[in-house]
Amino acid sequence: MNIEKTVIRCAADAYSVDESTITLDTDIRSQLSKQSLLLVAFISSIEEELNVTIDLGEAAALKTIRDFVDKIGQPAE
Amino acid sequence: MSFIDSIYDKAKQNKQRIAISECTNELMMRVAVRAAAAGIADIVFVGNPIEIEKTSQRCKIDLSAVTIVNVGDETYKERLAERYDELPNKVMGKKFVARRIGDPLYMAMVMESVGDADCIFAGLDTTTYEFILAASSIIGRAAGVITPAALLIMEIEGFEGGQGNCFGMSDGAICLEPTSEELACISILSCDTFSALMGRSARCALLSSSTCGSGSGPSVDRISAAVKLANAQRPDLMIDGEFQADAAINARVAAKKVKRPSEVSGRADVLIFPDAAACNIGTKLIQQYANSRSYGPIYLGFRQAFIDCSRGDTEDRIFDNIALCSVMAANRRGRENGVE
Repeated sequence: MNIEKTVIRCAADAYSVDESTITLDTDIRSQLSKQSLLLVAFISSIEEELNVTIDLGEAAALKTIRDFVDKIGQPAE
Repeated sequence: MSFIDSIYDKAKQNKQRIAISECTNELMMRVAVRAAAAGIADIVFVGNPIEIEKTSQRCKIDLSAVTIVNVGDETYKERLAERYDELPNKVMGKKFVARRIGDPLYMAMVMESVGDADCIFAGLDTTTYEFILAASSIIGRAAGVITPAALLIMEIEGFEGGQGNCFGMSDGAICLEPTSEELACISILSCDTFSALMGRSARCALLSSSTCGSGSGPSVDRISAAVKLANAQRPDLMIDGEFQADAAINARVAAKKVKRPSEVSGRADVLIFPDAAACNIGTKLIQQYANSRSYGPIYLGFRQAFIDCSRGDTEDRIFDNIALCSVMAANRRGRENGVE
């Protein structure tokens, strides 16, 4: 499974935006939403799709889509 | 009777079960046991019983007055997760909860959600952001709330405002740069919570550098719009502005500056600041310059009550906040049961 595409799709679903508007450099809080509940929904979606667990406290330090991809452990292309 | 004495009385009359997730923190353990012994709350420690016991032995704290819930009790956790999943207003799904219920903070929040605890209390080892994320994902927001907010209660010795010397001030921590809609939401949440705690209707002023159009600019417009929105959404509440701080709380100044009828000007007891920086600065200046006591911050806008104490809090302040947490939980249960 392509981690990068999955994370972008999860972000699009959680933040109700078109996938084409999201890139690896998209800053989640400033470009998508600062709402904590949407961040939680995004994280939950990633966890379901990729069968990983993301610590919510550590997620606070992740700013961009790339940060999430790197956190999950596979390098972005 | 002072505000906090009335809170102690109310807490003792209607004791609530407070779940404490930071129970291996010596300061938290000490104060929580003191609260249980004083009869202001039924304390439930959520954690590893072995680590809890080690802390109590090391610090010579008697735990006989508290209940301990084992964060490693798989049977109980499984049942908790099932009960949470059956809730009509659950926030996250089974897998999300199952991944986190081994964390005492999350377990305590699930316990509160299903009714095994009445409120939770933390903050010494947990950042505000972690607390908010956990609350957002397990407890969830109350219906219609567009932003949570933080309300500080301040008791200022020697100050006699139109409604006494107790004020609610918001939001110095959560919604950093609120829009008009968010300010209206913060005002309404603050009024409702303050009124319930004080037993009287709040008079809420939205603060600005302007009074009734004396100034201009985007910030003034934002606050003026927030007043209109709040009044439209909740005409039963006394919310007014925009007012400079002196016009909000000083009747003599209000008489000069506010040339229209107002239920709030000159006697406001809930002050809504334009943004988090202003509120944070204002409340800290009061703490430094005036003889005051502060309680909270109370986190508003979630389905259940909680207070996030600060890592710099003293033992007495933590004790006061536990009592406040208990009273807020009792107020919420009273509303749910139709009791005024």
